[in-house]
Amino acid sequence: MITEIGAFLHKGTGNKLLAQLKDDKRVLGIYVEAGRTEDLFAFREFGSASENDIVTVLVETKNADKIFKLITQKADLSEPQSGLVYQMPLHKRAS
Amino acid sequence: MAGRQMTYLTDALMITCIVQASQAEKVVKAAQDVGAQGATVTYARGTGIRERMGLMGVAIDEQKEMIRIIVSQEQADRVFEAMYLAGDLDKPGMGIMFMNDLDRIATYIPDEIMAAAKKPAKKKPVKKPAAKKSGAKK
Repeated sequence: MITEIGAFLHKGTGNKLLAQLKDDKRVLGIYVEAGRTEDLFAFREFGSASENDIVTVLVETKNADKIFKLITQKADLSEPQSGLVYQMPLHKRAS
Repeated sequence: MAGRQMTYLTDALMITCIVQASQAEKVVKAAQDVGAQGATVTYARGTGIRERMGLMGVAIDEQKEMIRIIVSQEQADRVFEAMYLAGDLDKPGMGIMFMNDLDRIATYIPDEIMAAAKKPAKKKPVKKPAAKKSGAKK
């Protein structure tokens, strides 16, 4: 079983997280997307939205807790407006 | 990490909706109108339905917008339905959406909300059921 850990972060933070996690052997895959968000950050760039990074990390379910904690520490969620990290089970994988 | 504590949110779902480019705004607006906080939107390129629809497929934009919204379990169905209707997803080629359970979420939670969440809920006074009068004659 594998688990998806996703993070909605400030623009630019996604690639930093990718650089920090890419050599971790517990990480099966890691992807960074760029997008816009309406509610996560107070500053506005495009009308009601601001730019953000979306990081998707795939890990074995047995490693999910540790990687989730690691990502939340690196994202420093103790401050307001710092983003959000979520965890979601995936049902099947092939590689 | 001394003195710091992590709080997870549970009972949440993620709604993912893929629509044609420039359609996301109205879908997000509809979700917000029924209680969603906001959304995260990314750009993508889609394939499949355009090819299957033959010549009619040219009317479908290859560029897509992918909307992700995290909602509580209570509001999930309401938001899902509002997004579906706003995006005209009942029409061919307009898009697709799905919903996933989330195990947990971590984000900044203001102290006052944490304090309110830790307070035990007030117990409602339990009314004793009125004794039923028996209509049976002795």
